[in-house]
Amino acid sequence: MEFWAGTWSDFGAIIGIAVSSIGLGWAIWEARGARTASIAAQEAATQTRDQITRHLQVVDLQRAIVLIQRIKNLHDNSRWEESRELYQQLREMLSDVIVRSPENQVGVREKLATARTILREMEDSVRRRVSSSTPIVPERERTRLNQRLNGIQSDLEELASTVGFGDSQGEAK
Amino acid sequence: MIELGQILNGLVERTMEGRLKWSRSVDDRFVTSVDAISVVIEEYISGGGTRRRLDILDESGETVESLGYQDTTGEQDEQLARLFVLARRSAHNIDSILEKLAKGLEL
Repeated sequence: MEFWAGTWSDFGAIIGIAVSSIGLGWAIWEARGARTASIAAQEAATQTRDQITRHLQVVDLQRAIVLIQRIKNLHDNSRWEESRELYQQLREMLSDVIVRSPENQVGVREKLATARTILREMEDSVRRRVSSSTPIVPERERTRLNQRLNGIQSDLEELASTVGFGDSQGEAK
Repeated sequence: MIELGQILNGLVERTMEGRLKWSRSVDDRFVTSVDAISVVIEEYISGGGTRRRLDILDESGETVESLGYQDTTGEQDEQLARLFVLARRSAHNIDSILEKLAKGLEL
């Protein structure tokens, strides 16, 4: 009897260990599944956030392009004072895009910062001209300013396209 | 603490290596940016001589540091002159134009 009792006890222990092992294995499997699901959810959230950021950047860049067109029209009509206000708005708009651009978009941030700096210098140039004793801006200077605006406009169009297509580095130079 | 002279040397080196691309601003002024920080170099005539000035603008576009001829040593003034030439060459793609020309002339 004692022999059988010992055997059954050992058998029970083995079954217990086996059941525990299966349970542990199941728990580990479940945990891994949950972790994978959690990582997938996190990745999906990051992707969605990234897409929203890109969409907002493209919208802002398109608004900036429209503003450049308006400044060129004001230049063409010699409405220099009004153009100065738009220069300021445009620079502020680009500053907002820079602030909202993720740090890994180095190329995008660099191009925007360069455009903003050139716009500041153009605005200074217009201000100096309209506050001078001869406030008439010669045709040659008007053409030069509009050429610089065309350059910035095409840079922003290229950036909007790059950002829209998801090149996160924005390195399409 | 990083000195402006070190920044100036770094700008010269990176431009020579072709790692910094400059753009033309208005008049004789050229701009480049590293992340959202911009650098402007200009050349102008003052007191009968040619002067150069370097401005550094922060992330919000405000000028935070400047290096003019009155702040520089003779060596730094030479570096400013070198940087101005390099920036102008970069902005106008002069190296690429000269290469094409040399190729056309079969040099």
